[in-house]
Formats: sequence, C-alpha cells, structure tokens
Amino acid sequence: MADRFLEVTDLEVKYGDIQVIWKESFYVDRGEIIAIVGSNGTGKTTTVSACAGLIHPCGGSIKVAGTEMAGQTARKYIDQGVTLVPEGRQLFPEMTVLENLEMGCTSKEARAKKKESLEKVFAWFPKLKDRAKQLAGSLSGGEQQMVAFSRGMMQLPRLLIMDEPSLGLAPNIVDNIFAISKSIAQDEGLSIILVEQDVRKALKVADRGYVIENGRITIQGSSQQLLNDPEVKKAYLGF
Amino acid sequence: MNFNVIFQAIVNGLMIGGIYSLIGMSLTIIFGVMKVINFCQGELLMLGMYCTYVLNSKLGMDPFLAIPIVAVIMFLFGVLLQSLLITRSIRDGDDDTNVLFLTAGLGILFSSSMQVIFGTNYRSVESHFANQTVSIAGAALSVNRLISFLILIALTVLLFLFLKKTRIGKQIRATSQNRTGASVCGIQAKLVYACTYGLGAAIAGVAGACLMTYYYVFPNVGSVYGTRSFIVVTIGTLGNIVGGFFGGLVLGCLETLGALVVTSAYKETLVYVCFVIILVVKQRLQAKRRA
Repeated sequence: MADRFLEVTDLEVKYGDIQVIWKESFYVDRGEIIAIVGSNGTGKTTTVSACAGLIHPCGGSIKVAGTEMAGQTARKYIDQGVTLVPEGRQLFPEMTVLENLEMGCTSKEARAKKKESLEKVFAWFPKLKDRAKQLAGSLSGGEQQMVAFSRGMMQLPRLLIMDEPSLGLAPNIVDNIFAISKSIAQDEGLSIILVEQDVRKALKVADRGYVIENGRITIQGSSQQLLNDPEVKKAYLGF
Repeated sequence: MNFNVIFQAIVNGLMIGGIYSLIGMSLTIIFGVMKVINFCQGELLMLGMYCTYVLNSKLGMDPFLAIPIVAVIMFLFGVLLQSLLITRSIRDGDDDTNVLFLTAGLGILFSSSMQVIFGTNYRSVESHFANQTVSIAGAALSVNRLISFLILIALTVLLFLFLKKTRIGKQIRATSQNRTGASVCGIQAKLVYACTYGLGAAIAGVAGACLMTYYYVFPNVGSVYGTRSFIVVTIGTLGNIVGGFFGGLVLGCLETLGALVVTSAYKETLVYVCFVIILVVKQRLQAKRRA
C-alpha cells in the first residue's frame, strides 16, 4: 500500500440528471502504467476527467498520494502531481510551440524548473526544438501530440493521464511516445494512466488494465490476463 | 474638392477613429476570451468620461493626467462587475441569452444612475491644451485629438506586450484559443475572466477620458459609442484585436469622408451603406476562401 499513488473508490459521475459512471474503483501504484480501455462513449474520458479535477464526481472518493481530492479544482490536482493530456490534444493553436510548453508550467516548482524541463522535452523530441517558434496550429497531428504530451510533462507530474493519445496518428509516432512514457515510468517512477480504444496497443505497454463498459468497470487484471481473456478477445481484439 | 481637404478629412477621421478603435478593441477582447457580447461597453466608456469629469471638476486634474487613475478605477470596477454579477450568468448550462440581458440591463442602470447623480445636462472639461492646434502637412489638428491618438497607439502597443509577455496575458490568450486546454493547464478561468473584463472596462474608460478632452458627457453618450463599437468589431471580425484596431480607424475615416461627400446630415447614411457593403464583400471573400 505504501506506493499507491491514486486510489479511486466507488466513483460516480452525473451530467445533470443523467448518471454516466457507476461505482468505479481502481488504483495506480507509483511507476506503474495502467490502461483504461473500452469502446467509444462508455465513460473513459469522463472517468479520467474526474481524476484530474475537470469534472466533479457526485459520489465516491479520489485519493491522490493519500489525500482526499474529490471536489477539488484542476489546479489543486496539478499541485498534487496529477496532469491530464486531454483527448484531441487541446493545444493553443495561435501560440508558438514554446509558449504552449510554457503554459504547461503551472505550479511554482514547474516554473522554477522550466529550463531543465524544456531541455528534457527537446531531447525526447528533437523535432520540437526546430519548431519551437512555429505556431502550434501549423504542426502535423503527430507533432501536436508530441507537444500535448510534452506540455503535460512540463508540469513535472507524478501521475500522467493520457486520453486517447493514438487517435488519428501514424503508428510509429504513437510507439515513440509510448516508449518514452514507459522509460520515464521505469526510470523516474512516473505513474501513467493510458486511455485507449486501441486495446492491444495499450495493453502491450501497460502493466494492468481495466475494461469499462457503459460506465462500469467490468473486467480487470494484468495486461497478460486481459489479452488472454475470452471476453476481451471477442469484443476488442477481434478474434 | 482638392487634395488638402481630403487629407484633412482623413486626418480627422483617424483621430475620431482612434476612440472607436479603443472601444472596439475593449469589446473584442472580452468577446474573445469569455464569448460574451458585452452590451454595456458604451456605458463603461460613459462612466470613464464621468470619472474624468469628477476628477477634473473636484480635484482640478487635467483630463490627460487623470487617465491612469480612470484606468485603475475602471479596471477595479470591471473586475468587481465580472466576479460579482456576470460570472453568475455564464455558468455551464445557463441560457446564453442571460448574459446579454444582464449586460444590456447594466447599461441602462449605469446611464440612469448617472442621470440621477449629474442630471441630463451636457458637461465638459477644460484640458490644458484646449483650442491649441498643430499643423501636419497642411492639415490642422487639435492638440487634444493628436494626444488622444498617440495614447491609442501607446495603449495598443502596451496591450500587445501585455498579452505577449506577461503570464496572465498569456493565460488570457490561451483561454481565448482553447478553454479545455486552458483548464487542463490549471489556468483559473475565474481569474482570467475577471482580469479580461477589468482590462476591457479600463480600455473603455481610457477611451472615455480621451474623448472627454474634446467632447462633452451626458448620461446617454454611451449608446452612440456602443453602436459604433459593434460596427467596429464587425468590420474587424469579432474577437480579433488587430481587426478592432483597424476597424475603428476605417469607421472614423468613413464618417469624415462621408461628411465631405454628402454633407454631414447624411454622413450616417453613407457610413451604414459602406458598412453593409463591407459586410457583403467580407462574407463573399470568406465564402470564396472556404470553397
């Protein structure tokens, strides 16, 4: 239990009167990568948005490093070490790549270490260094995803949540980002939640996985277990 | 009609347009960030004018020297207005028209309050440079208008530096470009909104103070400039600050050149005809670009 970073218990979320998430419980340990998979519209994005403070749950608890965070603002989650790389990247198109990365430095600590973080980012993605002065909106989809991932890492997170990073991107770019994430998780103890529709790819990177169906977690286990699970195979892996 | 007359008209137009630019930019920056069309922008300008009037008549302050004080007062007023009232009508799920009614109502409230306090008489202030003129390439120019115009240029430059260089300025731009992106970056929308509205009110206030040096104030003066500000932002595309800047100058020149061509009684007609033409042409160009 000592190295449990995020622990979600009985999470419930409503949009207005309509409940979309029922009693979800899951956890992430330090340095661990978990995958949250499921088809479109089952509540994956809602689940992780709640874990980053963007929407407030109507029930359950979200503990980050032992502190109860349910109901807190996104800013508080960031200070606590949780950063979301949102679906569809959500960059600032009329700002330069460098400015986009700078906007990632919210907490005092992140601002103080901005230079080092930038060096790290440029070492991961040398392409971004060449494009630092370019407007983010003029980049290709893959480059934009690199910026979105890097903007998240500028926050010096201890838990990085990536929502659909592979959406609409070439496989080699996704592999690159996943490889970098995995090495950061192993070397620096970063925890990662990977939200994916590409179940096979996600489970190859992750240590464990959860399957969400209609707002509930229906199957969970180690990645190996899930890959061999007959239900998962039938529904998501296509054989 | 000789060249000198036209040149004089253009110079006058730019001077008047400067005020339009300021109020247009203040309207456009609020829309860009909050997606709120602020219907009391003209009244904020009017409050800036009364503010200048009070500082001048009670403390004997020159209207130009009063500008920094007016800016600060209007900024704080805008911040209060946003954080106490407007924020309550733009929550998620609210009807979008709520905030329109609110700001329009505030406009009426402001002008009626001023009517209660100051009456309906026209009031003016005497600036240090009153009745002085300079001549630029043959065009005579009142010093007050020239200084106002220079203030416009300085303020526009400052605004750009603020948005480009400061942290809160970057947060304002980020919020206007992508709200979701801003919230995942931990940018506090409340703070950004309050600051933006304060900035919009301060710019309108400064425009009012500049206007006060050569014009008079009365409770309904805002409605004239409010209408103008909508034309300005429509010419320059709503949400585009550079567009607002040039839109104001274009409108100013249209007015003075219009007065030259069709006598001042019909200049408004010409302004609106040109406005319609600009809209149609702009629409066509955009449609073409999209196709």
